[in-house]
Amino acid sequence: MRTLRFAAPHRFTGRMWLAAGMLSALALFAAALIAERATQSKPRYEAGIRRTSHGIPHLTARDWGGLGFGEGYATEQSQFVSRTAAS
Amino acid sequence: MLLSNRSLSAELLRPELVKRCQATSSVTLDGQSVDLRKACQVLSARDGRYEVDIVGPVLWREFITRYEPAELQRSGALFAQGFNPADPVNTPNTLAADQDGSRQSLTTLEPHKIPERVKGSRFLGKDGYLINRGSSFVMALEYTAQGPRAQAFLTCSQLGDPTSPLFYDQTQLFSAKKWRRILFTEAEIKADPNLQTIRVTSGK
Repeated sequence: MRTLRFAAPHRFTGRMWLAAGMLSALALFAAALIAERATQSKPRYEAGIRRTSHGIPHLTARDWGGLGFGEGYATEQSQFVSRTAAS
Repeated sequence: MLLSNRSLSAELLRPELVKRCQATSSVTLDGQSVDLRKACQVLSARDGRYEVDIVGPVLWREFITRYEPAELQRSGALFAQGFNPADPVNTPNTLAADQDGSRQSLTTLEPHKIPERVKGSRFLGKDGYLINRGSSFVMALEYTAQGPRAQAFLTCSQLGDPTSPLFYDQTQLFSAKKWRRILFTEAEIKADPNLQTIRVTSGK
């Protein structure tokens, strides 16, 4: 029975369960906050634009949002002058 | 086929037009005699295709654009037999009998003004013909065991900035019938001699 006591030194009362639950909830909340901070410190969209011969753009991005951002950016790089000249 | 520069109107009408101008060495227009012989020779050379290294296509284009677009289908000033929905493959056909209109058009074949601006031209300006229609993006692609292999023409070129060489470089490739490769793989992109890389980001 000693072994069993060693494995579980305390009997968890209802109040202790509650405290443990609150602690872990707090930890989760803190972790979420930190993750949010980390996200916010980065740009929302990010992309790489590589231009090869004849100005052809090749896009790289980590996600679809970045890819869309890069696509729009590259298009405006290519066509901004003609678009503004036309209007 | 894609780059053959064939002209339907030239294929339908040029042989007969050449025959007629060979039979008529000169015509009178506005009281002036116009010699047609040299133009006739230009027009009869080669096969009537719109190739860039010969004068004939300019001459042909100037001849055919003297007619209203509707004349390219109906019987009248240009065609003896107009377009017939019951026989779409073989109509229109046959150069119309020589009328005042087509005789006037023949005088555009007088070659001294070519390749300078042609009097009365609808489309030929001092800088040549304005490119405002035709093929835009043309791609030929093959699926291979190593992935896609493709080449293309972007006839309007990549950039919209008229001060950049990239405004017209691919247009020139199209004119010269020179395909450019489409790059798919990292290795192909990294091996490109003109590779430029930038990183772009949005706000937070």
